[in-house]
Amino acid sequence: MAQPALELKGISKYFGSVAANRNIDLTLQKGEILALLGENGSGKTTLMNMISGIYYPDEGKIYVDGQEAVISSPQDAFRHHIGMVHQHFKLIDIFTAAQNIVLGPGGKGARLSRMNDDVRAIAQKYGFAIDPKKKVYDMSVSEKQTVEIVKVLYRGADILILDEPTAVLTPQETEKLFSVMRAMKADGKSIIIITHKLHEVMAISDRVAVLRKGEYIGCVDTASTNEQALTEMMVGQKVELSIARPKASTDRPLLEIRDLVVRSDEGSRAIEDLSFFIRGGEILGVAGIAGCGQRELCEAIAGLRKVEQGGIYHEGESIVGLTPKQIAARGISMSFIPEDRLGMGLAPSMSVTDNMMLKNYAEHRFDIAPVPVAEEASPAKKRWLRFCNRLGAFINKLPCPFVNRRAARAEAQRVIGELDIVTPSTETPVRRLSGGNVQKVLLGREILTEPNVLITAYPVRGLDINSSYLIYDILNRQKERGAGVLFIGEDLDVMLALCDKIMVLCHGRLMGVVHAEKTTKEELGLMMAGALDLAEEKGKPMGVAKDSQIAEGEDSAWNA
Amino acid sequence: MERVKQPLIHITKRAPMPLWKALCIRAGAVLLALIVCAIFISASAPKQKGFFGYFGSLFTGVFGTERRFLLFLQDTALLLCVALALVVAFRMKFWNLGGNGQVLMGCLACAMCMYYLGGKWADGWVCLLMFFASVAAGALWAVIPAVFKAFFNTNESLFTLMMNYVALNLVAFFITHWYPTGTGAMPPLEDANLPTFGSGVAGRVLPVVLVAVIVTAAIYCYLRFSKHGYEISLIGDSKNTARYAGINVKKVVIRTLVLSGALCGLVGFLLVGSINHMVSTTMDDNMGFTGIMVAWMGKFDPLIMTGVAFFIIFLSRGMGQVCTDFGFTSEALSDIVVGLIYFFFIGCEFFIVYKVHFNFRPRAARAQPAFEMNGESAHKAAEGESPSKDGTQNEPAMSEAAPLIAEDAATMSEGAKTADVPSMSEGNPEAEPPPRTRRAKNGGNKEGK
Repeated sequence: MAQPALELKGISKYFGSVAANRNIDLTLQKGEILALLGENGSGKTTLMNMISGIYYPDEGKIYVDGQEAVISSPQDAFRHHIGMVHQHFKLIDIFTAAQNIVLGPGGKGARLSRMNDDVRAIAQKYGFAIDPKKKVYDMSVSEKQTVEIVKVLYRGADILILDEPTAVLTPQETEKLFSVMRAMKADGKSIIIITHKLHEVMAISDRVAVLRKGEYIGCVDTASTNEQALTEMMVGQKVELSIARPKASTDRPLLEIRDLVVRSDEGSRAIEDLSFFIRGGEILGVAGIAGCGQRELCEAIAGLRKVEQGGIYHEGESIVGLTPKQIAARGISMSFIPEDRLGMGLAPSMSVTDNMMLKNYAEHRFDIAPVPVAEEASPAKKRWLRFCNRLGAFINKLPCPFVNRRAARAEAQRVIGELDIVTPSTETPVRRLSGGNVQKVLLGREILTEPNVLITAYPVRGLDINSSYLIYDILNRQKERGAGVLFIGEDLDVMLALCDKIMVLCHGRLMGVVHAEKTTKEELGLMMAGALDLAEEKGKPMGVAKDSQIAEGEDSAWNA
Repeated sequence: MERVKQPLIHITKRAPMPLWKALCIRAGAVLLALIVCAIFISASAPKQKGFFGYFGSLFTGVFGTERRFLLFLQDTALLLCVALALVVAFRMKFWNLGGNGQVLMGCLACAMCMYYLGGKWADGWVCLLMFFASVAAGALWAVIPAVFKAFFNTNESLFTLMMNYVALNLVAFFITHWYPTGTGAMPPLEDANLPTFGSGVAGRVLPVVLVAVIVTAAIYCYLRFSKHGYEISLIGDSKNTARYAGINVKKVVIRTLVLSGALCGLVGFLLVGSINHMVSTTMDDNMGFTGIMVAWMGKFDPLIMTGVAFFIIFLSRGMGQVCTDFGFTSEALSDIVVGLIYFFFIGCEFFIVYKVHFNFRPRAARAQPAFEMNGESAHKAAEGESPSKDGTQNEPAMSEAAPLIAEDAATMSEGAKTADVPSMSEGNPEAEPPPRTRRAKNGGNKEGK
């Protein structure tokens, strides 16, 4: 057998008492595509970071082309012809593609004219579509990714590591990436691709290596396995890979959005003239490439972002311009589960208890329990105790400067019990919990208030398979209870299975709302890329309910 | 084959350490620092009093006489109040570096009341006005940066820092305005002094200490149990989460800084009204900055901060006495030594969070894995974990490496002070584990594979 391109032997990495990687052996042959599969937190990225010189392994050895290699910096990695494309791009916005590519160690005295030609040559060889003179800030996500890959190739990498490259791409872009990868493979390059989408693993890889909880489980030939078997390797037990979709009750529209315009942090229009509605008892999915207005839309509905134009109506009542507190004060029970859980929905260094009272601490009152009055006590004592109880009841009604942690702890315990949250105690800071448990704390707090509109942004991002299915289950239960759920998702397969209707956004514009049962992934992909515009095609305004709750005349702009 | 180059020092994160062990490391660091200082002092002092004379002087400087002890209490109380004022803002991640200015403004407002109204109004009324004026002046000095932070997102560190100099020069201006001739110092004012408990130093110190106790208890409860305290922690943890929870962040920032400044103003009121009866530009005694140290070393917890305040004042007062006893004429030495002790105390936090490994690979022992420098292994060995089974195998490599380790650990933790290497590795719990136990752990690891 030929010399492997890369070989890892007994690699371990510890963070405190946590073993991110334990005793991992991995072999990458020349000219093959190896998929590295594992749930979040199984140590895939840590392992790749050690190969590319960002971390240094605590134990074990790395061999490149049969020679032992010590890789203690990214420069070392490049010396061994290893290049990594990170999940979060590391590009300089104001430079052109070619400038970004040439930048870095071992510059060969870059001349601009030569530089562009070099880049074009590489692009042609592997079939990339790239304009060397385009500035990075003008690029789409997939173009930025192309620049990253070309950058690695330009530096002469023979071993490429791609960390979740498809997470930000539409199905069509993913297909394009795969054809480029096949071209690179034909050229003799070895590629490791990290992903957790099983169908992509099946489509592109030659072999699959599986990690679970930092340990190496095994390596199988793609041709001799299937998705179910891989899932079982990943999770360690049999998993039911189906999502239930209880029948939607066609209730009246709960939340209606009309002609909404919202600006992003940078001041550009993140959402443009968007109209849609959610009925009670349905899940409306929102599909779109990352960063095309989903966050702004959620924040605007939740009252956290200024609405430039248009209306948001809850059961016919406008809530535009109200703060979250004012919305709650009107008796509207709306919950927002933001995508950045530890940055927005929860306070990471505070305990589970303290996070439970985030929304209702202001209503906390003194909690003085009445003293039982014994029958046989003397009348004077009885009178005194009754007086104390009356005083206590009076004090309980007064505004209270203190928080009531006892009540919050009881809520925390209830949520922990109901959702099976794994935590040492109610007083553990949430940032110490695993991703799935963090999400359960957040979701648990929100559904405790029994909201009738639930907005969730990427609720399963970063969660393992079991937790994900539990979250789907919770959302379905909310739907059956009659709540309207807005589900911002990224995995189209999941959305097709879970949602009742799917709304597609492209650069903040509505591309159309389709029934999940009647559409296909390809159609959604085309809509996400902006190639198919159902909203225009049908020639009638989409996203307006026939049985609208908005009173006639209230929204004159719309009627005109 | 070309020798494979390995990084020499490899730092990894430790598992969370039990409290007693962390405390032991801190105590060890302080002890070590004191020993280093003792060597330093006895080596360079003009008057020799012996190695242990240093410790004696340190203690007599604080506990020697009743007066010294009372002043020790008074300084601690004042410093603690300032630190508590700062910590309220720090909990919100609002870096209020303007403690000095806020204290000085409190002093100035108090002195103005005494100067203009003393003798004209009844003392009681003037004292009442002094209190409100001081607190308001301190609060004003803190609320200006807070408003700018809240509405224009200016940098609060710079803003509060600059406000210090404005306050300082305002004080200087008023002193020259009131006393245009003479030494430029203000004589103590006779009227409108705060009432004392009995006579002498004790009578003046007692109210100050009483105020500090009340303030500590109040701030502890405020931060821990109140809704305001909850909001402050929430904003400190994540502003976005606070907004998501519907908190008006601007309002809370301003409200909290009013409290922070008011407490500093209160210290100014005590300094002028009760202790000095006059104002000078150095009256703040740099407590605004020392207070930052107290807050950070106390981990923003009022109770730990109380201990830290005692520790810091003990050092600075004790060192004053050491300087006198050993015949140093300059106060600079005292600052150097105190600085050295801070350095050790804060530096040891690194070893509580991280573990340092050294890769020495003498040619004879290439195959052997890198060994660890940590307290854990020593601790495990002490608890009677089974000793190494293949201990002898690594003997040559280890004995070669051991002296190097001790030296390196010392240079790691102490930086420039190479002269005292042997004594340092003695006291530093990080550098302590003897070679034998370290090997024991390696042996165990190997066995496990």
